[in-house]
Amino acid sequence: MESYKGAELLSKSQKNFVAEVAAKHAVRLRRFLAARLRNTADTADLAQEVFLRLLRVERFERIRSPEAYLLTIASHVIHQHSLTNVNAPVTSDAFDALLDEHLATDSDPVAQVHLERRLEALDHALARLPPRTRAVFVLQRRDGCTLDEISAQLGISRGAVKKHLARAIAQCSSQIQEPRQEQR
Amino acid sequence: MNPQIRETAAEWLVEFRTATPGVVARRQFASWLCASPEHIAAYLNMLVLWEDARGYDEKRRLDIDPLIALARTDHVITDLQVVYGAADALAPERLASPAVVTQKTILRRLLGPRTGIAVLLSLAINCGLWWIAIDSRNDGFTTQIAEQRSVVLSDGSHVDLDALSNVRVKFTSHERAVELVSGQALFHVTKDPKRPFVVRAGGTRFRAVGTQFDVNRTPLGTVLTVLEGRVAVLTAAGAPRSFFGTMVEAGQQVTVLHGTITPPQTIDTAAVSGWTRKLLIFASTPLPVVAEELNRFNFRHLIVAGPELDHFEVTGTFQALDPETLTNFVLFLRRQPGLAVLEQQDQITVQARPAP
Repeated sequence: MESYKGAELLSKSQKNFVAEVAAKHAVRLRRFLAARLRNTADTADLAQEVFLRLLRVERFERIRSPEAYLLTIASHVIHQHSLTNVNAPVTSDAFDALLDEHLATDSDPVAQVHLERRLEALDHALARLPPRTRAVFVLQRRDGCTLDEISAQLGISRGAVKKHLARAIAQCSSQIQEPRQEQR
Repeated sequence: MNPQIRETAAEWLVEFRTATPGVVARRQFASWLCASPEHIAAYLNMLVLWEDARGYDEKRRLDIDPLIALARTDHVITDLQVVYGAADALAPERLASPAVVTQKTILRRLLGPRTGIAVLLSLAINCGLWWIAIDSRNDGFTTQIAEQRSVVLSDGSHVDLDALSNVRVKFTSHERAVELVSGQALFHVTKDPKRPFVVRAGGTRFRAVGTQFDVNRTPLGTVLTVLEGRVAVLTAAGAPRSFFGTMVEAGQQVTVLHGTITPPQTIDTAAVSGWTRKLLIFASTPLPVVAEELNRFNFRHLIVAGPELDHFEVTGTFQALDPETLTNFVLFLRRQPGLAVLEQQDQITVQARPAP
């Protein structure tokens, strides 16, 4: 993970494009994965389908923004899934892209309940993190601080901030998905 | 899900959310994604968590300031004893403050409306461990088998002490000297250009100004790993190559044995500090070193007899506090055709099986 530091930057428009695609598909992905975070079979099915489609893309590693591509494909797979599965609580239409995420969850009580439950689980998982890791996470996600701001506030390097952030989400995710294993 | 995959997924997500990765990184990410559906599942899960977290604590019930104060004096080991003390000119209020913050934070957590019963219970149990008497005259710290400690020194530096280890602290106006008498310690050194921080281990000195490094005394030499910053190594025996010693950079490791320093090697520093998370992570580690680290957590010691096994290398990750770890490891040794294992009441001896 260390070897690519200092590689060249994306152009401004390219950067905006990635952010747009991510925002556009985040709502749909969250709604889909929200109810299924514990149901690993569904997530695995989705991942399997996305995987097969990625393999069909010629020279995928040359694609300019693999993350945006991944999200687009995942979103399409979910869309098709919802079309073939009438009972699925996933709604998806062109307006998704226009909806603000909070608006989307506020207007959908089921999604709202799911989100609250997840945030509760996240709260529990965060309580188990070391103070520094927890502080980095709260400063970044809740308070919207930049890496440099966090680095200055906590007196640790920028790289360390990133490491703590990654550790926070990795450990929270493992707590939430496999709570028993982590309590050893 | 494999924790390694989860960690890599998290690292990628942070990379993409906090920076604009270059072309090399993007290609690496793409080929990582294409390697396995599990990678894709892990990444998507991380993404949902990341997006969710934006709504975390919207009502701002959590006061960030005490958390920041606590984080600034953070120890890698959180749920073990925290001991304040050591060295010269201790201002009592300075010593007291981090501990008070700790208590306040715990109270806040205890009273917090969103905190679940399980967390309450575990914190209530932990509270007892956090609050340890201050003994400013004490300038040495020793840990027993399977006990780890974090010590905050008077200059704000802190030391994570592995099990079965011993350090002595002596600060003067021109030097912050710490002697690692035995075992292993991870040093988080605050910057003070006027007073270098010097760790002595046997005849070797490790000098830093402000950095993070791990020193491990093993039967096969003293191992220095630099996590952040730089450390100068000065050996007593033989003339050092330069007056300033050998510089070891972040991410590098050297071993000093009988005054000789191995060339710096680039290694995975997360594995070296694994012990602070109660994980023993070995990558082609010689058996005597593995035995030494296991013995820090077990009363029943594993003895490696004879130098033949210095080249027997072990790779794997073990839970330090799991009582099965030693049992399973001995089972593994028993299965090796080249080894003879003798189990006794209080020790287990392993040696090379003589060729037939």
